[in-house]
Amino acid sequence: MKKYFIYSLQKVIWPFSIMFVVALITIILPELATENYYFVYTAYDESISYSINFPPIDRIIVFLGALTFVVPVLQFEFSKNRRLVDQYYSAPISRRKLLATNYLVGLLELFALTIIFSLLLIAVVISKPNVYDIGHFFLIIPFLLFSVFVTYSLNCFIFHQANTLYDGVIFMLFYVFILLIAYQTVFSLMPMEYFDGPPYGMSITPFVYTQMAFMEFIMPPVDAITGEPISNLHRVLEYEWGDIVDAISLFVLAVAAVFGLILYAPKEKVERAGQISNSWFGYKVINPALIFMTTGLLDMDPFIQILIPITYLIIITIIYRRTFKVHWRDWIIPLSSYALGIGFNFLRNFIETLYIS
Amino acid sequence: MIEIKNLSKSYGPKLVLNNLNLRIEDQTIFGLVGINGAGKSTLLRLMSGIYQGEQGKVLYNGQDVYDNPNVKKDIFFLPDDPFYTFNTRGKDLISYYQTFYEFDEIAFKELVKVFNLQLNTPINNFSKGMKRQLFIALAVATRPKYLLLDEAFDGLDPLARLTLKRHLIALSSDYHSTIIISSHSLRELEDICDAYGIIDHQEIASSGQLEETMNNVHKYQIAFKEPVEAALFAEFDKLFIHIEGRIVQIVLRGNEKEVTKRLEKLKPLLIDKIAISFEELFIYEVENRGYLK
Repeated sequence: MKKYFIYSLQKVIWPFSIMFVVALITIILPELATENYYFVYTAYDESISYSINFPPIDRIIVFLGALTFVVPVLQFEFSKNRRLVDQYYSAPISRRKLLATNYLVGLLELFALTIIFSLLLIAVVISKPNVYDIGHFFLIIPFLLFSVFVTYSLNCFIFHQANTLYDGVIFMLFYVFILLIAYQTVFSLMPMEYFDGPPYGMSITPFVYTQMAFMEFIMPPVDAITGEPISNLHRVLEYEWGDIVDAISLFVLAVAAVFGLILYAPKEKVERAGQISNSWFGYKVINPALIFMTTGLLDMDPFIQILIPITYLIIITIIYRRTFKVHWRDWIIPLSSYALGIGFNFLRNFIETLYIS
Repeated sequence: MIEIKNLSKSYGPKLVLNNLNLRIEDQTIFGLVGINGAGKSTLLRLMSGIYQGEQGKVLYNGQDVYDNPNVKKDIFFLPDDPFYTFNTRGKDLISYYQTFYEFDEIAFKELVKVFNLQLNTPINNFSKGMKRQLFIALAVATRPKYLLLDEAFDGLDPLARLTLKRHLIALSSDYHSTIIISSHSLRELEDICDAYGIIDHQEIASSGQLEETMNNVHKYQIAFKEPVEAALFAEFDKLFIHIEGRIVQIVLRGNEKEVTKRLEKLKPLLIDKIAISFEELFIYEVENRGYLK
């Protein structure tokens, strides 16, 4: 395993270098032109406007967020191609070690990029006049490492459930929205006063969670009224319990995904590489679920109401079956989900009228 | 020794191998033949531990190959279409094989020289034969105890086939390797194989020592005084029979002397023994089982 680990590390040097250069050029270098990081007072029409020159944490978050989708593809592509399956699965290494090594190398690659760019960002901020409490800036590292770990781990598991690279990418994108939409669906039946929006953890990816938490902890660098720097440590200590539960849930889910990925490896049917992706974690379940939920939640012009889910239904069924000549049996489940979604939509609207009356 | 016991494999509802049993002795060159889609490649993938059968096992000296690195370190599987990217060069592949096998770089470079290949050129620019030669060189350099080759002679010119056969024989004799080759080039297999197996109808239809089998199969052209019917040969263990009036072409199994003696008892005008090749034997075997008719 040690030899394969070293080989895999050598293999990621090129992609790592490319990612590093891209981030350096697009995120860090433009920041060198920034003059300072503090309030800018602009007198205009006898009024004063305030603006804050933020460091590009959001861009780092977007960059790392994108990589947590790219790196699983690079690390697990070998199991989606029959020729690569022959090469890797005939090699004298156990399946668990093979997957564990690929997972670990990808994670290390992402962790290295996270730490490097966090430190570069901090260095850039320190090098300019600023009013931040720099000590707290270092919190970005554990926050980002957490998000990278969670998203990368879940994406590795989800991508690995597909039989082709393209299906794997689609599966990962599905999961970006599925929890959020499911949450909205469940709470759409409840009165508005109980519905406080989905928690951070269910929003799109844990990176949104990180972004919001980070803004809350660190980004308001000075008191908005006095303009004095304020300590944010108390904000960390007063972190809401609900958010901590979210974070723990995500962590547990990610750990379960890693265990699922590695422990299930000997049972995997690698001969399915390149075939239709029939996993229970893929189209088979997500397609009808998404059709049902989107149909049930949409409240728009009736024409659009019909057009959007039906268009989605047709496209995704064709993608799933990889043919325009989809067998009539394969339409039954998506069309039933659509019908159920319409039923749910009526039910939801009926309940809403009850609340109003 | 390789033992395949009650092996079954299916792709969804399609049964590819059903309760297949086979034994391959060490240090033999084994030819695996079968019509297209018979399951040769699937069997080789099961034998190299890539796939797992729904039932049965593939054992190397008593140890199951599936997900067993200790067994797999002695096996090299060369598929019909090995992986490389558009810019992979020969020398790039060395590091991969060095990771997993005891790689003999000197032997590899010698072979590359013999095959006249350029290690710095992208494999994508090689002809089909050159690609195969490169991967054969890689395979030989890992000094495998068990070498599994899928469609080994596919795309090779006559000279390259000859060179490959020489290297396989050398690998078998010098390093005591067991070589399993699936191929449609039965003439090439006949030249180098000690043993063979014919896959048909999801099972091994026929297997054994090639020489022994060939010595036990005889082809005759017989002329009679009067037109004859197939019933005349009902008592014979025949693989093939073609009757055109007085002339009979027949392929029979059994001891040559005994078979000839029994044929003479039918009082033909003339009995001509014709040489039979492995390719013909294969065709008669699969014809006998209902194909090509």
